Amino acid sequence: MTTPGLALAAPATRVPVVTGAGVGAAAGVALVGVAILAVLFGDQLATFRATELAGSSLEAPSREHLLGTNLLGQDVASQLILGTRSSLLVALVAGAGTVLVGGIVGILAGWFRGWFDATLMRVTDLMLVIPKLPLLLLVGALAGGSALTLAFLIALLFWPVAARVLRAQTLSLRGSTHVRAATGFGAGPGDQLRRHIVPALALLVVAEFIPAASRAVAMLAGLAFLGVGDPTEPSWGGIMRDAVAYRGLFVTPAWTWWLLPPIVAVVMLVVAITLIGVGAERRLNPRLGRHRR
Amino acid sequence: MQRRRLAAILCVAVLGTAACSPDTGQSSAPSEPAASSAASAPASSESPAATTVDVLRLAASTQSGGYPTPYAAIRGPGRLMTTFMFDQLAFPDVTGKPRPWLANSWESSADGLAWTFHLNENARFTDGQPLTSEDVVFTFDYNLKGPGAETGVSQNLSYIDSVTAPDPATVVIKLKQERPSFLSDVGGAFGVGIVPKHIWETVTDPGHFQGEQAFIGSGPYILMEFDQTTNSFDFVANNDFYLGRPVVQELRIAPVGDPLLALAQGELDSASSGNAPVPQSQFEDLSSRFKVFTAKGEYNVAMFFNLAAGFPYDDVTFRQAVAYALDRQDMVDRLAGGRGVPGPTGGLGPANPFLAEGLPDYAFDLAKASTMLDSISLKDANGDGTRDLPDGSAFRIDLLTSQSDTEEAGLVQEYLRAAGLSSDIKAVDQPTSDAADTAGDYKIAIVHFGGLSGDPSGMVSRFASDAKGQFSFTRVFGYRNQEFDALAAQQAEETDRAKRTAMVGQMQAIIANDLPQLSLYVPDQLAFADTSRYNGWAYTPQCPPCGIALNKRMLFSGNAEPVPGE
Amino acid sequence: MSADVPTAPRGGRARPPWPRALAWLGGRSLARDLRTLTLYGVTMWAVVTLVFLLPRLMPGDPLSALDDPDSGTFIYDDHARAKVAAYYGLDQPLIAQYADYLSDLAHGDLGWSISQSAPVSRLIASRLPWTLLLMGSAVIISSLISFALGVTAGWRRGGRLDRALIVGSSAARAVPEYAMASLLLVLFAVLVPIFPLAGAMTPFARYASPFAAAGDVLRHLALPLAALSLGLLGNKFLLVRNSVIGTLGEDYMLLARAKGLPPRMLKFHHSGRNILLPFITVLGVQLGFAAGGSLFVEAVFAYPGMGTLVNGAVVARDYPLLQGTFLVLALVVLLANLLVELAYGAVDPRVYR
Repeated sequence: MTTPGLALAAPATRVPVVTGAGVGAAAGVALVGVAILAVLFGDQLATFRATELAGSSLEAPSREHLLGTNLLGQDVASQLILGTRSSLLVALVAGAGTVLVGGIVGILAGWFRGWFDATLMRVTDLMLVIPKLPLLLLVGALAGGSALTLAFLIALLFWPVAARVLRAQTLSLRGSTHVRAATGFGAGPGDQLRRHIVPALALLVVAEFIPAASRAVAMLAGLAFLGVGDPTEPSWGGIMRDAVAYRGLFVTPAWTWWLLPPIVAVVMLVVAITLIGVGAERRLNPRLGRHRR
Repeated sequence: MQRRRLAAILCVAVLGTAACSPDTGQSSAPSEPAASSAASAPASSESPAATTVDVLRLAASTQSGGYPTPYAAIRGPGRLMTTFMFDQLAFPDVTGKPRPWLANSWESSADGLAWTFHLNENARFTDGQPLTSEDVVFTFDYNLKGPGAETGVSQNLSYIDSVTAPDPATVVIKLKQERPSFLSDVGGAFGVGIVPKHIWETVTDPGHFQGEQAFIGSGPYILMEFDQTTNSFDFVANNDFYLGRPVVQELRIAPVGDPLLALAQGELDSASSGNAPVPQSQFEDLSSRFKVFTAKGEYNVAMFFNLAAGFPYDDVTFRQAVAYALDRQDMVDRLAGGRGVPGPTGGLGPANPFLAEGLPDYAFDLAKASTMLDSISLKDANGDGTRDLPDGSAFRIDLLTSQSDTEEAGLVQEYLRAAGLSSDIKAVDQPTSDAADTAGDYKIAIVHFGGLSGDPSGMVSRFASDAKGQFSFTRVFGYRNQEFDALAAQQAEETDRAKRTAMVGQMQAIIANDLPQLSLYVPDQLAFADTSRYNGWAYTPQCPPCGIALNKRMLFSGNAEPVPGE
Repeated sequence: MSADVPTAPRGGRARPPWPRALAWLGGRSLARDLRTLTLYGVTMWAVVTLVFLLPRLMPGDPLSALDDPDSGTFIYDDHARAKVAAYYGLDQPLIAQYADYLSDLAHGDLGWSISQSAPVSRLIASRLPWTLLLMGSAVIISSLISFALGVTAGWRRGGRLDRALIVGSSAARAVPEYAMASLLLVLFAVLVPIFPLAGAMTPFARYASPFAAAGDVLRHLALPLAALSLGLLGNKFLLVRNSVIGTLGEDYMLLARAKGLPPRMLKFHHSGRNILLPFITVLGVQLGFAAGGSLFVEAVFAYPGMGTLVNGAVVARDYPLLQGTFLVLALVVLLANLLVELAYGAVDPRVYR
């Protein structure tokens, strides 16, 4: 535990007084807000149904088709709006699922150690050892997979990564001075986990959630590319898959209105989540806040 | 295209029918460079039959074709690689018909049950051993009754009764019953490759036999390098080849990412688009630099109805109404950039020599579709804009498809919607879809397959109710038409070409009316090639993996002229 | 409290971590080793059984890889088809197939690929090196970059550089690998053709020297490597950055700072060393995942690695090839995990105290 007096030594000169994180977080919230709007009012915002043959093949952007049309003549802008729903849902479900399962397993194993740890870690090993992508190909084909099913599958397969990281940090924390001191003062495991371990791990949890969420979006797109998943569900990954599957994509300008928009959309969403995470950093790490004050 | 047709006409005109017929028994091997250059001289002044081509660089698929021996090669592309090393009694020319190769000539008995082949007496394997009738007899026995049978090779030849060798240069093949497809079964692009007896007689597990010995054949090319990791092949000419020195001296066949891009960057000498649409700008760029080869397609995406799935799938009016509701020309425009045709409705492809004239084309007619659907009481009962079943319950069509045909399924869904039919697409991976199709676990399936120009026996296996085909996903489920079955059985033993064509025509008319399956569209074949050094580029009909480049007869002779024959 | 500070690594003590790790290895009891071995053994058995059962639960026929109805050589005859099934042992009951599989495995025989007509072990041996090259270099390069960037960004948290790096790295992570690969392909192999379109080497090239060969391999490696590294980088960058921030408030950092140690020492030695633990964990996971994880990039560049081999096996329902590739990939991950455990002890002695 830090003594307030030592805060004098904090690298105050390196931290700008106006916190960029606040601005970033606001931008992040705004972007996510836009995405949520697209989810809620997608049907009203989209001018065409996702599969509607709205124009001829590969029309360039125009007033009628803001982002042009794809090979089939479907409106890319409408697909992008309608695809927000499944992309956001997948990010949320897969990200939260991964962190939740991984967090519980990792923290408990790291804290209790012994046979409990050994057992959990062996299960984790088993999960880690299985080649995940190939397994997703297999199970995805078997389960037939809507986006939500695949999101659950991704969470079920990828939690060991988070579990490992969090266990390692828990082990490290457990060995660290203030936790050992607290144990010395007679704090119980529940109390310790709640008061020392979980808050200290919050940053890592956020750090794990963001890649897990974005990985899920990207992975779903990738699986679609390899032929797993439900192609009828409009999604950003689906637009990318359709675009990349078209051999002539890169010898025509079509990639600029067909492939780039969903990529930009995914990037914006992920960056927004990241910025929110960074903005939350100060609240999650109170000691940092104290230094900055 | 024009030039090739001209050459074909000239061949017949110059040599006359007698010289062109292999049945005369006395015609010399027409593929000898000397002979073919003589035939080609008046046809085309740009045909450099005498000069050789150092090397041609061609694209291979990244998908494995197995190990290039007759017993371990896999699928069309893999098997084609073995033809460079292993010769057949006959081999197709640019017309797709089997023409003399290892056999100089052949004749059949009056009843069509005994075929006598006269082998080229100069034939030898690349290890120096002569190839005699003994090797031919060995190969057939090995494939039909010996260890080769376990690998499945030549299993379509179970109608062969016996193969004997009266003398070292003569082989007699006796059949159990007449079979019009016999010559293409042994001498088509995927016929029977003759292996050396002195090597294979000790091989008990041919599927696992590998190494240099396994590549020894009598063909015009020797496999110098085979890289299974990347599926690339380096073939060099066998300059002691019994028909003469091959014009193309080396073939480098390796996968490239995108063949058209690789061609544009100068890494290949020819490339095909596969069945994928080519953007107009790319087409114009490539056609300004290379010669364009187009041909009617042999591949299609088709809609299969499961007639065992009950009403309305078993109702012919429903199936016809669906056909009218589909704008198949629009599919060609959107999915093939306009290069292709709506599928012929009789079950054979647009380039099939047996294709019937005057089949109904079910041109897009929404009003007609609507009337027909009304007539079988598929009406909108509750006013929600979609048609319901006669009992008033909601009607939703299940569209089963593999991931590779989802675009087609998406278009079909939109067309059906316009006709008031709502549908759900279920897209699964390829093997799952194949398994569901095979098991009849579907209502309407959207399936792609090729080989549309092949022998009508392929059509029989799809539609005849007694056909052995339970392992194939292209089998239509629940379809039974006794008239069709009878015709199918009859044509299989009809050796008179005209009579057989008439029967197959009737069969197509039945399918076009019953519509258990509807071919949605057939994209054209499209390829580009550099003709500055080599002129043998041409499509070989009924050999989809051949493309315009992989027929060894052309690579050997350096030109794409038809071989004189019947 | 401040009396405990010296237990944290200190700048002045440049003791290499390895002797400690070796001592830890040698000092463990035989019983513990046996238990660990047993656990790993059980893990492997579970993997082996899983990869035996899963493919067989899937719909689809492995024999359909041999021939398609298009080619005209499709075997329609049931009897002949059954013969072929027997050739590959597919006519046996499941339990007999399982017994065969285990006994072959015990003899080191991974079986015979149906869809490629080759020994599974040979197929894997020819592919694994390419994957290890691609993935190994991607993991190393992305680790070095993300470590340097992460420490720097964490140190200047909230600064302009920090924010730029956060946005940049999460953007890089967000783009699906195959879309990234496709973009790189179009930019640097189509529009500006400075790198080859596909493959790992120029086919049939005869090289004048080993350097020419290495150059060719590197040229082919560049784009897939870039696509993969960008994807891996984002993940680790955030982890490093956030962990560094977590250490900033630690007592030993404050003490070190109070002692007036130079910032570079503080950054990379004090702070950097303390985040090694989670970093190595992620590294191990990435290394393991890497063996099969480059599938998307391999597919775009037709790179002859394990990913495309596995994908081909899945599509063909090639049971022996599926079993073999899963097993080998699992072994690679297991190895990576063992290395990580070793590294734990080496980097942070507290773990095994």
